[in-house]
Amino acid sequence: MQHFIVERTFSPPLSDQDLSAVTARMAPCLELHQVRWVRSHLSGDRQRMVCEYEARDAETVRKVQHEANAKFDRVWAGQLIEP
Amino acid sequence: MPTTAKALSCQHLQISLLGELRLCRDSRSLVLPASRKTRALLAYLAVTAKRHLRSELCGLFWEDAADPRAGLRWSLTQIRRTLGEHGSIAIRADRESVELQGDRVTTDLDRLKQLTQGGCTKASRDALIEASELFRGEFLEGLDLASCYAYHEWCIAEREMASRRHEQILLALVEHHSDDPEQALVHARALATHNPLNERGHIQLITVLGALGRRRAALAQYEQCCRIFERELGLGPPAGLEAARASLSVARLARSDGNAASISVPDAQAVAGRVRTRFIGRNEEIAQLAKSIELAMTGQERDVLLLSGVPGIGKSRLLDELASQITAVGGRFLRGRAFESEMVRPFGFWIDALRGLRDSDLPKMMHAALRPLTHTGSGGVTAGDRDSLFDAVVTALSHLARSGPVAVLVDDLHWIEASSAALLHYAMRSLTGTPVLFALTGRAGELEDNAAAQNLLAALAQSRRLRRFALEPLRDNEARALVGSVAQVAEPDRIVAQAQGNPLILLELARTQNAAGESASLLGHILETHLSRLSPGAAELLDWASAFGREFPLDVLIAAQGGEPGLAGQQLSELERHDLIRAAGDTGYAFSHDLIQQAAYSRVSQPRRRLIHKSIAMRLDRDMDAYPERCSEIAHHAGLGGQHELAARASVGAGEHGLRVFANREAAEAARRGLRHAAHIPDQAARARLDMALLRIQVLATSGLPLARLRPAASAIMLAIDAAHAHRLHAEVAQGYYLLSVVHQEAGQFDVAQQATLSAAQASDLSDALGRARQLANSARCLVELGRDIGRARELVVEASTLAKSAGVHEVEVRWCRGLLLHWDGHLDLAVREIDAAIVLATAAEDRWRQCKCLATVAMIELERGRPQQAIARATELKLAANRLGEAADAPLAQAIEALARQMTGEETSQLDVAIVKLRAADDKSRLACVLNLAATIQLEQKNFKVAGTFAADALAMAESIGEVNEAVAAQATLVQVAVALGDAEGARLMLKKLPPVLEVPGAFSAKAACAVKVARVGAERISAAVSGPAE
Repeated sequence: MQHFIVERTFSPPLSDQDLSAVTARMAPCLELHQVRWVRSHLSGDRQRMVCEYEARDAETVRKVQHEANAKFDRVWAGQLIEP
Repeated sequence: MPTTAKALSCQHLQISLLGELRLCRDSRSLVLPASRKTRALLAYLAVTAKRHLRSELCGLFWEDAADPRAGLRWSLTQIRRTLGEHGSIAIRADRESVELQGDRVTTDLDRLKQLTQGGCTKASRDALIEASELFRGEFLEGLDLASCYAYHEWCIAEREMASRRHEQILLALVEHHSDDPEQALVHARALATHNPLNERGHIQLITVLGALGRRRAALAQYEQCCRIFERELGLGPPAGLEAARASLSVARLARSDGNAASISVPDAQAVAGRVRTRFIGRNEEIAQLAKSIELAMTGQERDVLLLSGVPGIGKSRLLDELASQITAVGGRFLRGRAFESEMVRPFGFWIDALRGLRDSDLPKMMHAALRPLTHTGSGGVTAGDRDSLFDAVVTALSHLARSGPVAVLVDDLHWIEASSAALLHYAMRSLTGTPVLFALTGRAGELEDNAAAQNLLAALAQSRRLRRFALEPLRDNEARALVGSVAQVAEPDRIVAQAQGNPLILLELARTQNAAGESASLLGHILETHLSRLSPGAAELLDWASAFGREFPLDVLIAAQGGEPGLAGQQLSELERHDLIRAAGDTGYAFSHDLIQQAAYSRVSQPRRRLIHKSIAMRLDRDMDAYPERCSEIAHHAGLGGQHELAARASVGAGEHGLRVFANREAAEAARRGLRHAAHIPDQAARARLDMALLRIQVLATSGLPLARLRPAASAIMLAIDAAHAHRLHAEVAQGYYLLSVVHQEAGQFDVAQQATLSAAQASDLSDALGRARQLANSARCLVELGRDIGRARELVVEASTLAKSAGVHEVEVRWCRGLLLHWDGHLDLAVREIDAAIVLATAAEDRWRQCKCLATVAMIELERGRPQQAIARATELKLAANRLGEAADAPLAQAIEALARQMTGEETSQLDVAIVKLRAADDKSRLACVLNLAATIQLEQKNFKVAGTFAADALAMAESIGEVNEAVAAQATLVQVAVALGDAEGARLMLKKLPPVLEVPGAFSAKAACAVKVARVGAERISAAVSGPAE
């Protein structure tokens, strides 16, 4: 499985309600398409978000976003570099 | 005939629109009506110079008035009074229309057009100089009337056009003076100041400064431009700016002058800090106020006091004195101010006035009853009704008055909103005979522009309870004493003469030791003097603060501007020292006077204002959920910042908040404004959703109340229902029918109302059924695409189809999934028909992603069907849709399909290789496997066996890497066929052996995979027989 990054921006800022709704919509899609959500980082102003996934290819990650109606700007394959 | 000539000359009317509105007859200024709305109307009639229907003018200026035609009549009377009754230039009006008529009316706009006819670049230098001098300020300065939405839009559009023309003139002037850099510098500076967001002005200024050898000043200008671009636009320096900087000659460094940008140091007098001036004059008014307080102490003061006068005349200062007097006799006061930018903020005055109450002032029960006004955060609103809220305020005031007289002081009544005015009137009526005194201030002339204020005053006058104090200019001796109380002035008489008894102007002139020319706008000139003494950072902060209105919250200002809090603190101190602002409350500041704020705001160019308002709106938006009472503020800034979607969304929040605090008129008003903004939203589905939410507020806010003017028409709701239908927003459709039933019910049309109620119920059922159908079909479609559990997918899609059918609708997911299943089963014609239906539905719903995916599937099926021309047509459609969507993999897929189709017809093309590289880069392994398999099949048919083998091997690797069993089987089958074609019987046999039991388990694999295996098996058996036959 490859490591993927999804970048998102929100205007207006992402509310807790919207975050919960998207998370709920995405859960079954992730399972069905065998995509693993690793973690997400939400900026303090709630206007930017970076999510990490593991999946078979980038298109599957994009597809899951669309299926769950989750807003995103771009998806790219990343190499994990840790300290 | 000299007399006749003179008479004609007297009739000549010159209207100046580029700056504050000004009318001159025979070179003498005419006194304009005090009402801003009336002045704006006069200007509108002059600029448009044509006949207007009364209804059109009412819509522009009095949309929110109870009797718009009466408002128009009143304003026309004021204009007639200004123009005089016997001139040949006059208002010509009949029952239907209005026009400003006269042969000898000229405007500065007309002159500007004459001077720049044929374009600024072709105009002579003299013409350009004259044209530039016509701009005394921005178009109709101070008359944009944000509360008159349609007029405001017109005014801003005209203002932007005039501003662009001004820029062109200044730019042309700089170019005209290329032989005279000193003169060019004057115009370049004006250009850079006029619109700091236009890099051309900065570039010209840097270039001219460079030409003059003032390299340090040029570099400072470069730095300033970079700062502005980074802070306000989030951009790096524009390319042209870098080029201008690079062109600054090093050789000229030696001539670097002493005029480089320096931070001016405030002079000692300016930084001396504000000293509260002693109250001077108004002896008669003070005595009357004292008498009122005396009467109020025993509950005998029936009168409500109104202090009126022109801006700066000292109304608020007199109210300060009243507050001091009431405190001196052991009483207390509640004071609040109405703000122009908050005319839709429900109970704005009362929220501010009650904010100062301490826990110990009232029993707990009373505090609880006041919660909707004192705890305005999202969790603070309690259930109740408007009457209970009004009673709670009256009870609280009565309670406070038990321990001494109470004064309720209202600043700027001319900007009060309806709910505050209604509560004020209720309190005035209910508290008659108690020690509660009410005192109001308002601008003469502008009170008539505000229907809520006017109604309140009319009701008070009718019940003979209104006592007016019309504040006159200070007498000369009082004016001299006031000037002497703040500074030692060399020529006090000159200042006294110039200020004409206006205390604000007297004080400002005395503080700045200013010498404003007669022709200049006095306060603008005074502000310029202040600004020349400010550091650039403080001046910039002032620009930002002015966009908030009279008061501004510190945290929002700093966050919106993106400044550094420590630095901002220093800059605020600097502004305080210049007495431009004062602390207001614990967390904010206020301009020392509205006129100072207006003068500061008028200095900010229109594009920059838009940017500042946008930034403020976006900052406030972050807390919209937590502070719903701020929604109207967000809508205000978002509207001025051109952020229509945010403005409409904030209007929904403002309307809902209004409903919660029983401010129905404000709620309906907020919704009406929101609908105007929603009309600008390009995303039609988003617009349909917001329209319905706003209409709901309008209907609920006006239901059962005499607010018919604000109630939406049934036709408007029907249009919104149609739009929601078109975008398949079934919940909104149901909502729309419900609203329709309320509107018909209110109109007494009970049969129609009942029909609408039934439609609402049906739409609601439909919405539920459709949501369920979509969910089922979506799950089914995902299973088919993954090639898993096809039996379950069939069951799900049947259930989804039944639900959609019973609801009488077509659902894109159902048609798409059925198409994929037909494709799975090998019914290619039927599959194309179903997926085509899905494409139509997705296109209608503007669902671009589903539209692209369906188009891609159909295009691939056309290739499978051996129809290259149809595949090319589909690929072309896909390419267009993919470009709109911006999805990474769809455009290369379209390119690949087109290339495959062309290869199918025998055309040689290298496009396939290019497309495959792009598909790999987009990392779409599933469709890449599919494309490679199709390429292998085509090559096999064209007897390019080795190439076919390469494609098939690549497809197999790709399919196996992602577990795409069907594509893997198809690739293996192709490889078997390649081996057969090359006569490799053993290889074919071995590969066939590796294949899963495709034909043995019917339905487990797609028809495409099964068909490929069947063909491969036949071929392998044939070659095997051929090889083993002779051996046997």
